[in-house]
Order: sequence, then structure tokens, then C-alpha cells
Amino acid sequence: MTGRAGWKIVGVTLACMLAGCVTINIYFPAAAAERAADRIIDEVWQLKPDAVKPKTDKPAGTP
Amino acid sequence: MTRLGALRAALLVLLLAVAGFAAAQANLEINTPAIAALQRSMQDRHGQLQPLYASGAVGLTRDGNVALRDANAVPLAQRAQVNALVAAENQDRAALYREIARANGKPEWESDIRATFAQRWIDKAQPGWYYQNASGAWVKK
Amino acid sequence: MAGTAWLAHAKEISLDIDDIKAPAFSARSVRASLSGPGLRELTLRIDRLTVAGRDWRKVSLTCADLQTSGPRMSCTRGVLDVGEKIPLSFSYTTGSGDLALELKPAADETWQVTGRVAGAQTAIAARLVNVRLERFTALLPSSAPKLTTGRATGTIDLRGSVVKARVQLDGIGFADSSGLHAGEKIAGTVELDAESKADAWRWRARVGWRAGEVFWQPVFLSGAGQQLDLEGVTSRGVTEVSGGTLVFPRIGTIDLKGVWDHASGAVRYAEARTSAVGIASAYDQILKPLLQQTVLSDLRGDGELGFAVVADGDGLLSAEVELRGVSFEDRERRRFALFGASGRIPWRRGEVTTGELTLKGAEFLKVPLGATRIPLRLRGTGVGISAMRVPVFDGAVQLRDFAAGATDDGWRWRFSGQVEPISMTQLTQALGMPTMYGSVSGVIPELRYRGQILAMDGALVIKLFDGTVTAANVQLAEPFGRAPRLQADLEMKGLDLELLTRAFDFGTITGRIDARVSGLELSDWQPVRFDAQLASSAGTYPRKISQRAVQNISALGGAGAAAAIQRSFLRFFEQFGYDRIGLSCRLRNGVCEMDGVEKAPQGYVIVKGGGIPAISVIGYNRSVSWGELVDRLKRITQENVKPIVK
Repeated sequence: MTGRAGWKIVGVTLACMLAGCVTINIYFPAAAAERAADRIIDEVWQLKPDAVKPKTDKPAGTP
Repeated sequence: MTRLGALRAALLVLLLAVAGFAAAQANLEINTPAIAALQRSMQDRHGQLQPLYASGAVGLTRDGNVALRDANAVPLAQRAQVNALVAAENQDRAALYREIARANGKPEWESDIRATFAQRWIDKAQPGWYYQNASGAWVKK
Repeated sequence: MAGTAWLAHAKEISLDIDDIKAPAFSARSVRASLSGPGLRELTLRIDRLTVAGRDWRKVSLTCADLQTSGPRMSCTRGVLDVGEKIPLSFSYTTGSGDLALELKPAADETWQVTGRVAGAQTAIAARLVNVRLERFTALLPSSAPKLTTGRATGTIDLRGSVVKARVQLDGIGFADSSGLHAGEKIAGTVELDAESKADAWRWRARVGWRAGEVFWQPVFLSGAGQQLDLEGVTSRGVTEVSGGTLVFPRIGTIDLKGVWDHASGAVRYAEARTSAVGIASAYDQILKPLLQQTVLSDLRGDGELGFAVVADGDGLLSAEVELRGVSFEDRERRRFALFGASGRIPWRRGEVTTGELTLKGAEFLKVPLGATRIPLRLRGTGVGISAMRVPVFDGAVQLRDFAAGATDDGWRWRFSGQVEPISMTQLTQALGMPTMYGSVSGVIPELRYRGQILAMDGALVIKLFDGTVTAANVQLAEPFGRAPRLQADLEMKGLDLELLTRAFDFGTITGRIDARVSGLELSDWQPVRFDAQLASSAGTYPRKISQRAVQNISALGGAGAAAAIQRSFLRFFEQFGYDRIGLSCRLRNGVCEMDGVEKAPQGYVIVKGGGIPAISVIGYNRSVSWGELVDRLKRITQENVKPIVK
């Protein structure tokens, strides 16, 4: 009897653990993380449109 | 039939839950002084790393780092510097992933954030740069 | 030799040999034949020739004009075919064993061998001119970096049991596939003298490196006249170097010894010692390329260093370093400097050793540190200092029971100590901060660094503005990283507001104030989170606030409030009385939740008036952006608050 109850508890715990794993995966805000990554990468690699703009090289010294 | 129905219902709930989360997702906090400092430092270094990405000397790894791939394209006298650049960049990247996780009060997200970045660095890499594919082999973009 | 057969015809004699095997080489299917008119055409074919583990297939030697007169055999128009066809001439006299052989693989490349092959009287001289070293690539172990180019010119003499070689090397290049071990345009000389007696070779070698560059991760060196001299004996698979020197021009000379077991590839014993190495040139030539992108990347070095390192098969056995007047200075940014370090540091495996270092002075973030004596105790990877005192301005920092060691998660160290009162005035001036009056002192029960976290037990007391500031629960994560993270709880008691406001040029407030900042969190030295409360201290003391201070406090709430005072009759008063001052800020996510002494209709009281004339300042905005607040403070104090020195 007690042995059976014990197994049941183990079963429930296992299910929780499995569910827990799934929950953690869902819980990570992947889309938000991707947006954050994009913002940082654009900044670090200077990928923003205004940063890519070619520099206007004016001849120096001539008025 | 009923079993299939139950499964379908479960899937629907799961999808809804995911969708709910996705919709509810606010932006991650990335405006902290530490993240700004790391970003500046990496941006400053990028000027030196860019030609190395282009020549294939340095590539993007699948775990969100950079690695020395083939230094033969770099003059001998500068190879030690390439090593140092790679080490410094990886140090900053590790700190960046850790800081983003910490700034959002979820230190346990660090590896997920690293994985997200790994993918995005590669997605945003310029044609001609090298990156590691899922099995770790170098691929030219 | 197995299965030989003579076949004699009128016009051809041929000899077939299945296999020739010797320890260093083997040849399969060897066939020699003489044909043509007068049997003067020699052809020697080897299906497969193996030398030192490398194979050549279809090797042949042909000679169109073999001449024989008596015991002498010669050929002037021979061709050796080993993939490329190499013109060759030779002569050989059986009996005397006189031999002359010349190969001309290219117009400017010559291999010449002359001499006599006759047992103990064997004497052979080889003369090499512009020999292409890449021909030997195949003979080198495949694990070594690939030799891609290079030329050798010189002589190799073999006389009985004596070998003498003098070879000039030029334009040597090598590289491995990753490029982490590579050399370019290397030029130098190799001299070797060896003599075999019984089963031992007694030898002496000299290698000079004149020009070129080598990168052997992580070391980069360029040839500038470095010279390696070695003398030793090789016998029964063991090479013993009994005496050697390595000379680095302008740096110093290192004496070398060692024993190397060929079979296991292990070094059984090695010793390197030098009495004096010049720090300045050693840093520039050897260390600087190694330290790029670190804080040590641009130093000015000075002084001398001596060392002796001994290792055996189990690793490092002993090491001793001696410093004589060693100084380092961060050239660019002057973040740190070390002046006149001298002393001896000995280390021995499995033993406790003691040494001592003395420092004439040092500088850290422009704060000068005085002369210090550091007694060291070493054991394994551990370092201990029982006590040391570092003078700082008029005070000092004392360290006790310092212990450091390497662990799996990096370096770990701890110490306890105390701070003897250091002038806050001098300290803030040196750090480029607004001048503050007072002193810093305190007891450090324990400061620990472990797993990249620096943590302090106990409290540090700073006497400031006639009051006390107590810092507790101080913890600094990644102090040497790009984004250090500081956590602390601060408690300030009875600060003199007059001194404080004067230091920050904020107008004048007379009185005393207490403050508590709990859960302070700095990221990259900027606040990201805290709960702060500021309140007038209990007790009786004069309480006055100047018009300018009132305006400044008001200005924290925005420009409008200050203008309001200016418009009212209050502008005629220089000073006001007050009863209590209080302000709190709870900083979260860049927003400061503010509160004051007490509630006011739609707001909170920051300064509660009292006396005549009295004035109250009321804040209405409870949520203020921290960045905005800091900007306003900066504007008010007129650049008196300098940005943090990084």
C-alpha cells in the first residue's frame, strides 16, 4: 500500500519536472531576446542605416 | 479518437500559452551602464576585428564567441594581437550575456541569451565571413 | 636481398633485386640494366623507395654515357628522376673507393659530394649551394609545421668519426595550417662539430639567428642576432646538454643545461639561469606582443631581473627570481606604476620558502603609495604575507595575514587589515573628485577575492564632513572586468551640511544630516538600484538654508519651481530657517521614486520651514528619471562633480 503511494508521488514529481522543463523553455522570452540581440549587434557592428551612410570626403584646406 | 482529441486540446492550450507569452513579452532590459560600457568596448574593437572577419582569420563560433580560424592571412608581427583581440572580445561577450541576464533579474537565462546571440551574430554576419555550423565546421557565408 | 637472377644477352645485362632493406630506408623492385652499344647506357629503376618513412614511387637513375676504365666508372650526363628530373654526374673507383657526385637540380643549385668511401678511412665532403630546403619537407614529421621555403649553402665534412658542418640558411619559411606556428624570411647560420667515440656522440652546436620573424603562439620574436650555443653528448637515446648559452642582444644571456630522453620524448632535467636581464628591452621585445589588449600592453620598464629555473621529469623543481630596481609605469593612461622593486623570491617544490620584496613607491589611479616592505612566504601555488604597510598620503593601509592561491575557479586571495586615517582632502584631489574634508579610516576584518568576487566582511568607517560614513556588506563582482558590479550598504551620521554643500558648490545649508543607502548596486560604477533616505540629524544645532540652496533644491524638481521663487518676495532674503530636511529615493530601472519629510497636498515636503523667515520646499513629482536627476545635479553644481574616472 505505502509502496504504491510512494510510486504515485514519484510519478507526479516526474511529471512536474517534465512540465517544468517545458515551462522553462517557454518562459525564456526568445523573441524579446532576439530583439535585444539585434539592437546590440546593430550597435556594435554599426549596421544601422545612418551608420552605413558613406562619409562625405571633402577636400581639406580648400575653402 | 478521444485520445487524439485530448492531444489536440493539449497542443492548443500549449500554443495559446506560448502565444500569450509572446504577446505579453516586453522588451528585455538592456539599458544598463554595464551593458552600455560593454557595447562601447566591443564597438571600438570592431574596427580592428572587421578586416579579420573579412579575411577569414577570425570566425564566429556557434556558441556566441569569436575564434581564431586561420591566422596565415595575418602578418606574423600582428598574430599575437589577433589572439589578444579574440580573447578580449570573448571576455566582453561573456560579460555581455551575463549582464543582460542579470539586468533582467534572471541569471539563469545566460545560456539562452548566449544561444540567441550566437544565432543573431551569424545571421547578421556579412557575406564572406566565416561561421561555425551546428556541427562545429567552418562555413563561409 | 631475395631472388636475384642474371640474364645475359648480347646487348643487355640486367640485374633484378626484389627488395633491399636497411634500418633507415628500403627499396622495392630494384632493377639495374646496362644496354646500348658497348653496354654504356645505365638504367637503375626502383618501384618504390622508402626513406625515413616517406615513399617515392618509380625512381630512376639513367646515364647515357657510362664510362669504365679499369676500376674507375664515371658518368657525365646522368639524370635522376624522383618526380622531377635532376641532371647528375658521378665517378667512382672501386678499390680506392674514391667518389665524386654532383647534382644540379637548378641553375644556381648544386649538391656536390666528394671523397673516399673506405671503412674507417671514409672521408666525405659535401658542398651545398642554394639547396632548396622545401625538398626535405616530406622527410619532416607531418605533425611539425610545414617547411615551405628556404635555401642552404655551406659544407658538411665527414672524416672518420668526425662531422663538421657550416651552413648558412636563408629565406626560411614555415607554417602550420592554423598559422599559430609560423616563420618567415628567417636567415641564420648553423655550425655543428661532432665526434663519435665508442657509442657516444660528443658535439657542439651554434645557431645564429640574423633576420626574419617567428610567431610561435603566443610569442613573437624577430631575428636580431640571437645566438644559441650548446655543447653535449648523445648516447644510447639520451642527449645531455652540459653547457649552453642563449644570447639575446640588448637583453641578456641565459645559461642552459638539460637532459633529454629521445624514446619517451621527455625532458628529464632542464635548467635555465641568468644573472641579469634588462627589463626595458625584455618587455619591448618579448613581453609586449604577449600582453596586447591587456592593461599591461603599454608599459615603460626599467631595472634588472635575474632568475634560475630548474625542472625535472615531474615538472618545476625550483625557481628563484631576483629583482634589482625594477620599475613599471603605465605609459598611456598612468593608471598604475611601480617604482624601484628589489628583492629575491625563491620557490622550491614541496617546501616552504621565504623571500622579501621592497618597493620604493607606487601609484594607483594617480594616488601615490609610499615605500613598502613585502615579506613573502611561498608554498606550492600559495603566497602568504604576514604583514605589510602601504603608506598613502598622511596615512596608510595595513595588510595582515594575506594569503593567495590558485584554485579551479581562478585566483583566490584574502587578507585582513586596517586603514590608518588618510586625508580625504588629498585623496579626493588626487582622484580628481570635488575636494572633501575629512579622513578615511577603518578596520577590515576580512577582504576576500574568490570566483571573481571581492567581498568585505565588517565595516569600513570613513570620517567625512565631520560625520561618519560606514560602508558594510561591500561586494565587488569582476573588479578587473569590463563591467565591475558593486554592492554595498552605506550609513552616514551627522554630516556637516555646511562643509558638504560648500564642497559641491550647492549654496549653503547649515545643519547636520544622516543618510542611509541600503542595497546600493553600482554597475560599471553607476547606480542602478538603491533605497536612500536623507534626513536632518536629531539634536539641536543652527538650521539655516541659503536662497541659492533653496533654488537648487527646487531646481531638482524642474526649472519652473526655481523661477517661481525668483518671482516672489522670497527673493529678498539671503537665508531662511528650516525645521527638517528629508528626501528619499528608491531607484529601480532608472526611475527614482521620491518622497520627503512628510506628506503635503499632492506632494511631499522636502524642506520643512521653521523660524523666521521660514521656507518650505515641496516636491510634486514622485517618479523622476534618474538620468534626468543626475543631469540636473550636474548642471547645478556646475561641473563640480566630475565624471567617474575609468
